[in-house]
Amino acid sequence: MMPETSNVRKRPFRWHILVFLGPAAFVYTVIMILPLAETLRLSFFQVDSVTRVVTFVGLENYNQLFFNVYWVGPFTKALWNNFLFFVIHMLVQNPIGVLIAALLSMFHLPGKKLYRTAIFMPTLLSFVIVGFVWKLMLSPLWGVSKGMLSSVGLGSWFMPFLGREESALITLALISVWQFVGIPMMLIYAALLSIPEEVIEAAECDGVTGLAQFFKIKLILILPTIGIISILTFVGNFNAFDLVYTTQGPLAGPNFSTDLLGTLLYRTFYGQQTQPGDPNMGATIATMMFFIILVGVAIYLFFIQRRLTRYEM
Amino acid sequence: MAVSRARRNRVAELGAHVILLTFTVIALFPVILIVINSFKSKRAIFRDPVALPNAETFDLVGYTTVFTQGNFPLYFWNSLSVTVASLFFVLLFGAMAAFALSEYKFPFNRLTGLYLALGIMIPIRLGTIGILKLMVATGLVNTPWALILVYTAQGLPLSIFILSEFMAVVSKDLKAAGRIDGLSEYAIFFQLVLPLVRPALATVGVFTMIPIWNDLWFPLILAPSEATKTLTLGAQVFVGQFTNNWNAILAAMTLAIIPVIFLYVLFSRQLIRGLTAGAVK
Amino acid sequence: MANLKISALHKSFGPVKVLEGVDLDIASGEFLVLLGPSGCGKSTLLRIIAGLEDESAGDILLDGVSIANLPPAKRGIAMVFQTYALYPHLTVRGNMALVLKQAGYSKAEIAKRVAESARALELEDLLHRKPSELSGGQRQRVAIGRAIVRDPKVFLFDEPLSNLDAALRGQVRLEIARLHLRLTATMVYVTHDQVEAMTLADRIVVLNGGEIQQIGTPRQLYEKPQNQFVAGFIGSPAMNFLPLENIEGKTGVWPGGARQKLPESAPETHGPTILGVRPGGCDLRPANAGKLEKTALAGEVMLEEYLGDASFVHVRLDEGANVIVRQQTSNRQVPGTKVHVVLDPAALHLFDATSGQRLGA
Repeated sequence: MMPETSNVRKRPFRWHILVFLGPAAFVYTVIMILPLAETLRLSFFQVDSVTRVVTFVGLENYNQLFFNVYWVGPFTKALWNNFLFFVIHMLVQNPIGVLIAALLSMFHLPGKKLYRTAIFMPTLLSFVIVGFVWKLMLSPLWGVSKGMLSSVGLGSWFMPFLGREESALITLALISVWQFVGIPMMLIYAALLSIPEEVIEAAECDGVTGLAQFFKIKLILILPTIGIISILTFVGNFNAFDLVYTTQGPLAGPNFSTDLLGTLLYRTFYGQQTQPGDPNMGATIATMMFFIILVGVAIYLFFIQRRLTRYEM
Repeated sequence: MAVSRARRNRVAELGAHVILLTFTVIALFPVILIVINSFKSKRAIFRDPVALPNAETFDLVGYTTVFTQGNFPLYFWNSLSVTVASLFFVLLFGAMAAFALSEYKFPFNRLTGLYLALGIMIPIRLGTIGILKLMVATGLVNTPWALILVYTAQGLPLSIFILSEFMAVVSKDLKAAGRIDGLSEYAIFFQLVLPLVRPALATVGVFTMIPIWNDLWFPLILAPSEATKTLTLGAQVFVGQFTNNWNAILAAMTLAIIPVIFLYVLFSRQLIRGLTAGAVK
Repeated sequence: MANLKISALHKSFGPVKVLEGVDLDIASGEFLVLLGPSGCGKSTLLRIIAGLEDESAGDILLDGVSIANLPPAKRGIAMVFQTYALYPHLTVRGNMALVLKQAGYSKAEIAKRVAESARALELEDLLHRKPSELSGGQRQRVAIGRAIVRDPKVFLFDEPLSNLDAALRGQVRLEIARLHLRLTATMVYVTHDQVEAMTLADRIVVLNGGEIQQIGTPRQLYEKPQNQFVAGFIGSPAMNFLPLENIEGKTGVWPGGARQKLPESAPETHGPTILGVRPGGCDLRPANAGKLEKTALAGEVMLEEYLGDASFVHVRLDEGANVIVRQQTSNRQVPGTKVHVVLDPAALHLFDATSGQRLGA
């Protein structure tokens, strides 16, 4: 007699799943997750600079960062600068991105591709190039920017923008905007294109045209994309380091006026001039950055994204 | 997209052209300025920065300095090998993991996917201290492998995320046909699925490549030795050393820009298509 | 030539039960069609037979031997897919040869078998082409060729005609019917299209909600549907259903008290009953046509669908139900006309109102 049913299935172990997942999971865990955990761990320890003895200090490093005058000044300054850096991006980069995308999508312009390609190009350049290009452009030695301002009658406005405390950070933020405006432009352009032609035609028939059409229909429909761009900008900005480092050096001059969390982390970790590096305080700052980004992302996911209705298109 | 006559408005179009042209000039002018001045003599650079080089002002002294003083061919080779190797591993491992996640039902499938996606939002830089320790402990500091491993880990989360979406739409029937015909799971992946997601691989490749090529942080920390310097780091150091040699600086920057522009022209279709496809979702 | 036996097959995806205790005995050389609405579990059943999904419980026996633990390639089956599923990187020849290569056949044997199948399906001129260079109908022929080249014990078809346009569908359907005649192989064919099912099948299995509703020849299903679901699913336009209060002395009682003559096979007495009648089993009488049988149902013509050889008249009964009546085209019906619907007692089907099961023979 044959057994009628074999209810207990003996399926061989599917090794191929492990083989497919293994390499990625391994590299990712060892090179990314464990070091991130290590960062967190280090922030609870201190090393004596003379005896090299490692001691567990609990939250003492955080206590230092928030309340010791030696740390709290640079930290809050870098945090504030970072915040400004982000605000400038939100106020300048993203609206310009929307404007360009809207112009590109609204008209049937010849040369559209050319504009798009050209405006996106700076995004691909390394910070080293971007930093130095603008450093040279703005240098009083070369006089390119002074000459250009003069040609439009604003010669007297010229100053060494990167060399003055009150203008250096804003200038850097604008340079960063110059570099990255292509990303919001491209994403919003794509979102605008994905709005079905029928919806636009219906709007035309209903007499909603031009600017009203843009603000009342298109902008509402692409709000989720704008949300994603905002969070991308946030993560990018609070992780920024390279542009400041290449134009102003690790000291984020003049007089730390362009210091961001990234440069502070670098200096703390590696030391600066006379002062030795402190990996544990570096780890503490990195952990703070981690939490700031996490909180930002969480706020976005739980409070903002939920209110942005995603319309089926 | 058909644009009706009623919707065309000459004046508005002209305005759009003017605005877009302005942004285009702003985007391109600095780069063009660097490139044209790198071919001019020092005096010409300062006398009239915006003029094109002519017979009188043409001068390659900057390039001769770069090639005699700097080690640019080596830096270029380092950048290229690190980028290509990282790209290879990101695409291979990423595609394999994406296939496992999208194809098979197994316990903790979703959780694994979430775990691997964490890295999209968290910058790997925050783990630098641990990475440096690890690389020192394993003796990989100042070898290209330190960079390749880090860039692979950095690129994996996004590539897995994007590739899973593409793998999920590969015809189920095709994979079933392969299984009925006796192909192994590996053959199904490499022979059937991978060729079909080639466009997605190209898109992910371009996105992965740009930050790797341009990165300054990890070469500075993990591989600053002369033998392992990447082009980005090399240019940075070179420019720092030759602060007042404008010809050399401009030539070095032009050399650093050209490969990127070249790649962009080569891949811009893929890149734009990728951005456009990603945003539609 | 092989018989396929499926016993007590269960399948659930997490908490969702897709198949609940399916038993099937498919005779050697039989053409069996699995028919049902989308989501009824028919494709899952086919994929389990193929080994592409694991069953949760139950067994599959091919010629008395369990194949449930074998990988798909070892089961002696071939499958033709809705989306053709041709390997895009291989030529037609490569597509047909792959399975033989995997199975380790000699080059000469492969060439011979591919040539034979290609001849049978008139694919000889296409052998060097890639799938992208073929039309939809050609692709599906290649997919069928890929299936027959391996000489399988059982052919599985997963909605193979759904991606073809109407004209090609008829053509490939004939091709499949001819193939079955020629190969006399066991075939299991999944579709949601009742025309395909009726024309191709030796027997049809109607599935709904993961359970078998009825197994039978196309004629049995059409003429003696076992329950209200099968009655409503088979036939187009669908059978009309009208509620009866009850049955007394082999006579139906309408909610208003009027009587309805029932077929000979009707039970003596029964409680609440659903009366089913196909559009062809009804007729129309003018409302003012003098004396009418008491059983006539009064209503008003809503609209007429003209189909050339006949027309379907939609009537709204005064009680609120809708009835579709098949009419000769000469008998034109103007919307708004008051009419009576009369039913042919011999064409009536009776179902229990709660269980939906057929009453009487």
